[in-house]
Amino acid sequence: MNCKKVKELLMTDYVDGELRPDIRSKIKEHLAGCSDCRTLEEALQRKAVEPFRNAQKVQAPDIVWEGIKDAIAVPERAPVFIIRRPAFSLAAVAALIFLTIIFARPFFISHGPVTEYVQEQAEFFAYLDTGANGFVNGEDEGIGTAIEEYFL
Amino acid sequence: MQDISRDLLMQASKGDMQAFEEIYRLASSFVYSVALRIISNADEAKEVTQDVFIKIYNNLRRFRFRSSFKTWVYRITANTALNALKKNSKEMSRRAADYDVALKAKDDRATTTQAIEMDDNKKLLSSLLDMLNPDQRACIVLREIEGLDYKEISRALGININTVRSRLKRAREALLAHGKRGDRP
Repeated sequence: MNCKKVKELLMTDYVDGELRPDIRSKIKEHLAGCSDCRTLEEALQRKAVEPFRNAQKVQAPDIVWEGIKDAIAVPERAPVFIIRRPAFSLAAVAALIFLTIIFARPFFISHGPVTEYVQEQAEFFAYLDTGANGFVNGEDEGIGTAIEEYFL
Repeated sequence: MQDISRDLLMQASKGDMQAFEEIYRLASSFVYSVALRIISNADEAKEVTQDVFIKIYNNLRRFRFRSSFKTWVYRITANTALNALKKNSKEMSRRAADYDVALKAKDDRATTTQAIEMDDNKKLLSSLLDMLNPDQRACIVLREIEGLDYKEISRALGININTVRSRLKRAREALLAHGKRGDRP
């Protein structure tokens, strides 16, 4: 195994214990006879590995759990409507609109029952306005308030 | 991180707060430690820890045990901490992009040799981690401080094992370069 390959493995798999035992043994053999690679391995351990492995464990302060408890005490708002398959839902809504337009079309285009009803109502109100029904549309008969005028 | 039994997880997923508190007790040290080392800010690390456990609580009933709970927690923690770091710390990103500037700044304050002699190991760790960009930092924290193997790191960060390897290699090269500058008379 040459120095380049050894140095490559020293930086990663060797120091991290990820090598197969036979390859690890080959590297150890190489290190025993190569001062350059040995120097790198020592520097690596001292400057890039050991400082982290001596790191103290830290505990989360109590206030963190208090915050979590408060946050999860407020229940999540349940979604009112969940669309599980948006493509199908969209197609269904489009079909519904299409059918509504098709079936409602005759009522709006021809003189169907709705149109006739509207016409009848218009004629009835016009009839009331003429006074022919016996009611007089004069000032004396009204309450005379602004609200009444508004409704008239 | 300590092992957490399936029974405890099932209980917590049904809304049992005592069970969830026990999960918190077993996992919070890992979550807070990773967040603190990645972000280097205690207040933000507390917020990240809180966010991670709220995410766990809200999603626990949907957890199907297809992967291990530990891996799931590693992943949520690493993602939340990295997102917080990348989002809140533009200065850190700038430093990571300009590694030489960071090295010079550290040289002015203390050499690595002097730093090793510091009583407070936290300062040394923080100083070394400051040399790394967020992705390298996450790999080093998970590997060196939390002891995860390459497979666990790759799952936690959602990257392949060769990427884990190359990030660790670059991180160590950076730390060695910093150490060489510290060794200068």
